[in-house]
Amino acid sequence: MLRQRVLVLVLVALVALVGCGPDTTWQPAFDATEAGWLMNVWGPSEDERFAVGGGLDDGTVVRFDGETWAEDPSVPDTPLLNWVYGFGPDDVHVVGNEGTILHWDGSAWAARESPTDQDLWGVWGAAPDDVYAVGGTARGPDGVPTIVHFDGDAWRAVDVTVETENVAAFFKVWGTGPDDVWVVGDRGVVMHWDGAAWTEEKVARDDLVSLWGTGPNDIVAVGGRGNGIVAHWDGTEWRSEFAEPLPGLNGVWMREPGVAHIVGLRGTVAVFDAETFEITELTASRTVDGAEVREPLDFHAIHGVGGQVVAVGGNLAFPADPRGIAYLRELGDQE
Amino acid sequence: MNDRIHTIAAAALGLALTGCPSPEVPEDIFGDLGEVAPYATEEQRATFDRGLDVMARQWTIEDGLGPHFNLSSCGGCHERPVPGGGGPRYRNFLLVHDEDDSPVGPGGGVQQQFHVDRSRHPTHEGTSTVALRNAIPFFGVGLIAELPGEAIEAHADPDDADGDGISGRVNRDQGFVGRFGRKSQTVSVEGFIRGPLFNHLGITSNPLPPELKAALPVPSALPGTVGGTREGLIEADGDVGVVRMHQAAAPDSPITDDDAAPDPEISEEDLFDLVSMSMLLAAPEPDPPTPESEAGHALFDEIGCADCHRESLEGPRGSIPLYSDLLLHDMGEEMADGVRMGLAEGSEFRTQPLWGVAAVQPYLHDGRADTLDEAIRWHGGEAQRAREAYEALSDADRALVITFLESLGGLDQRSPGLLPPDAPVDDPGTYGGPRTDMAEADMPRFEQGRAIFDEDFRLSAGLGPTFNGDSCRACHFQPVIGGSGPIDVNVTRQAILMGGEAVVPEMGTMAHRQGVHAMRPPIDDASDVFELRQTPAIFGLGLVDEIPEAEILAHEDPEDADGDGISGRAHVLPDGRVGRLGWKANVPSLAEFSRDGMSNELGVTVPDQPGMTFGNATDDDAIPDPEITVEELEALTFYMAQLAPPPRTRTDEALEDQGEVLFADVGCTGCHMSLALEDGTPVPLFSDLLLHDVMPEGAHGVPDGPATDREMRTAPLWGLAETAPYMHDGRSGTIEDAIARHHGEASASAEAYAALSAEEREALLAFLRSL
Repeated sequence: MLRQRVLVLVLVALVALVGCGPDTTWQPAFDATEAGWLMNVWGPSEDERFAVGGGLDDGTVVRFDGETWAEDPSVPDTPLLNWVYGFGPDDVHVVGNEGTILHWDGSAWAARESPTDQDLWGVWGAAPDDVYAVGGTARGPDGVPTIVHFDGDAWRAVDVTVETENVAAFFKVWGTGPDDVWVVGDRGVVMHWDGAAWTEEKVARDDLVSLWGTGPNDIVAVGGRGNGIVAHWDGTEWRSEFAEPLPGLNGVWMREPGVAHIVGLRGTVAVFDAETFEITELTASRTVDGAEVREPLDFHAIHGVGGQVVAVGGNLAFPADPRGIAYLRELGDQE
Repeated sequence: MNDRIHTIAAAALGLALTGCPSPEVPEDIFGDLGEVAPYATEEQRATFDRGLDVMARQWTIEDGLGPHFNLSSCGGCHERPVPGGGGPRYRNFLLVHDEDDSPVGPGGGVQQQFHVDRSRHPTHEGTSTVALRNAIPFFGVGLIAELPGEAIEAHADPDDADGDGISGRVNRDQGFVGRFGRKSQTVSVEGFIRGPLFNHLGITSNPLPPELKAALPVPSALPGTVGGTREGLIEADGDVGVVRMHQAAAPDSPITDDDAAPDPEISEEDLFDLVSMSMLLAAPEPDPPTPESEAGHALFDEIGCADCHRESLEGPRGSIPLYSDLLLHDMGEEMADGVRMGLAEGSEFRTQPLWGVAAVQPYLHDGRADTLDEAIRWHGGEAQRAREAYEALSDADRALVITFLESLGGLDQRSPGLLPPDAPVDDPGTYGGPRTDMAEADMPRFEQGRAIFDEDFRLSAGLGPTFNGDSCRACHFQPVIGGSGPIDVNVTRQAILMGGEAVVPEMGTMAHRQGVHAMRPPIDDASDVFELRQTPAIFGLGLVDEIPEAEILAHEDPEDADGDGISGRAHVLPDGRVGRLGWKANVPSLAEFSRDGMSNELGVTVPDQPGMTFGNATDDDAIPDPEITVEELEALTFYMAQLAPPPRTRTDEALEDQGEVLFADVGCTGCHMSLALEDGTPVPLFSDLLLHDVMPEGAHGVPDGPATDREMRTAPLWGLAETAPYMHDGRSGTIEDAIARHHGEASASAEAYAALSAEEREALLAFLRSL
């Protein structure tokens, strides 16, 4: 059975206090209460980041210019925006509910013609003319696991068959190149594109929600709705375990091989060692009425660039009053 | 009471070995089963009472019941021996998972029996694993909710590091320690109520808002979302001052459905009262120790039961004597159900708390055990050793163990059915009471019959192999025993549509709900017509039984010779007897009704009785036939025959009298009429006991002998106000809706009713309510 060591990193905070290294404690990045849900964050540099989200009927983009975070008023009217990925400050793709696809060219947003009306949950590309988005309207009974592809000219539907029963959606896509693309989704299903064909494997007992990696032999997927799940691809096979005692996990980002920064429900932030399967739980806390409290809302995504990593989320179960959270911390050398 | 508490407290002295002071068992947590906990404030007691009302509420389709449902009230399952308790066997439900062990269907893996549009709910597509569940009692759950997760985690030994063969594991959800449910899969009382409300009733809800979560008897608001916390229940965690909760706030998402009722279908006030009531149910009060129970306790510890059925866990109020570690244990292949929940595997189950266990039979996750002795003998896996040690005891010592278990609360509330022990007989002439003309000397026989009517038949008594209820009372209990049944105990009948005509399948029309061998008894593969049959009340049937056949036949007009558009005809059996009971008037007498009910509803085989043809003499279970005696059947029939007819309740005689005239004017009395006994005594049942076609055009039902699939017996209207829901399928929650659903021969009357003024309609309804 998996043996996991779950720690609260008090020492990290103490180290930071004496000024011996970067402050690796999680701190609120900005007051995101009024920003709506923040579903994902991505940026080409520490000074330029895009956080996307909003409410079910109202997609928003909040941008960081190196000094402040502010909602971009030029974003077209869209439903909820779920994911963002780009190739630089002037080539950014954003996808969202009801097949929404937006593109930022460095000066303006444009709504791209979408080949699907299914919700799109993830977007990633190997190159500016080789971009995938995945999704499926898992909110209702008519969800269809969906993959669409951008070839530099247009987005087109990808014909893919899923053998696993009751899969209503894919949730994220990530890869290492045009011939090594991974998709995770409902019921722990994982799809792989090797440049010639899609293959399917059921990796986990529950949904896999997100994935990231550092190379073709080091990919981490996370998920689980009630209980967190971590899975690792070592180039040969997937290994999947419950991330006990963590609740469901939504986001993962990696910089160093084998070191995955993971986030999830109820303020969960942690570091997952993909080799040992040990998890070190960190703490994201904020001050409420003069008292420091652990963040109670859900994290949905995490992304780092440069020496910083940002985690975002919100009160994801309350569509009537969407509120966001955004935290940031410095990365240590080996993270 | 103090003696009992001190006994339990003394037993908790083991903790002293750790060098910590032994926590005391709190004095103010115990009560009779179903009572409010003594520690409740006056305000909480008011909430508790309101919560009991919410629990007893019968939801209707108009309220939002469904579209998928098993139950129409929370109390339907949690009824033994009192509201808040466990479920009798007939309330068992099914969990369905697919081949990947994922739950299927819209209710989190619950297989619903009914669908508001499709009658019998088809088995969810993709079902691979079917598991049976018996509803769990709620006594003391507020105290369990208060337990710190650490109090449960402290006894976990997932890798059996101590080598004792017992390896309890923690289940979790959303990061919290699981503690409720057969697999400890649920972490909060609110979650344990909102989930089943939807999964079993189709009632949607919003999560309680933070301010109400914080006001619950066991607060569960997220820190940071409200201004305050509650001492002792939310504590600082470690040096960084992180606040954690013991009581989870899950689930957080609104639950919606696509029926016509606006979401949420339960108000936040009602949900608050329901959750609060559950949290405030007292811990079962143990009986004073006796030499026998103390000896049994010692044996219980000695043979290893207490390794999992840990006497107490430490909560903020003190030592809570629930006799469970709340951990998951592998119970072996015989108990395994193949259902994974959270971190629990298919053979793992939560150690069931034993407080109050005497009164919440049947036992184990699927209710397979009728007795505590049987339940112990089913234990396997990690509990195999304790079971074998129990089996190796002498008969006398095993009896002592049982005596000890029965001393843990509730024994004096135990009942063979749901009637409390020594329940008085209702007054003559009232609902549930005998007819006013019954001789006092017949009272013992009346009570004997009532006891048989109420008794839950055990598997060992012949219940099954397929059945709808495990007692007569299981379906007939509204407003009191002997009454009608809510929509959730509807019986399902099946037929096959061939050439535009519904025909009876080879296996018969009954589609049973429960099975001993097959968890969901199979139906005929070709069946494509399913018709629900609501449970009619028994009140007054003794009089109906005495109505001469000629009186019934006198009102026949099969060819509508009088041209009034109504063409009632009697259900004449092949042997010439005239049917009078049941939705198809297919049963000719109350005695046959007893035989028919025992056989077709309970699966109990009946003995030969001269002149009787109904009921099955044999079945294929292991119990010798017949499974009930003639004497018992006769007592049962006597009880039903002596039940008083519904008493008429007059509240506004002028209005009701006006309504009675209108009732005749619009033509209702064409079918809903009084009949008379041989001596001319009127029987105001408001039914001609004849068959009529009142179905919508093109609709098909299920035939029964000479009764076509579209024909139903005119439903008696006496007692109407107290015997909702209405119509043969129970789909009408109101009298108005029932009138509107009259078609065919009753179309003219329904249209005439609709054409009345509002005041006239109210007068007619007042008349009907007065019956």
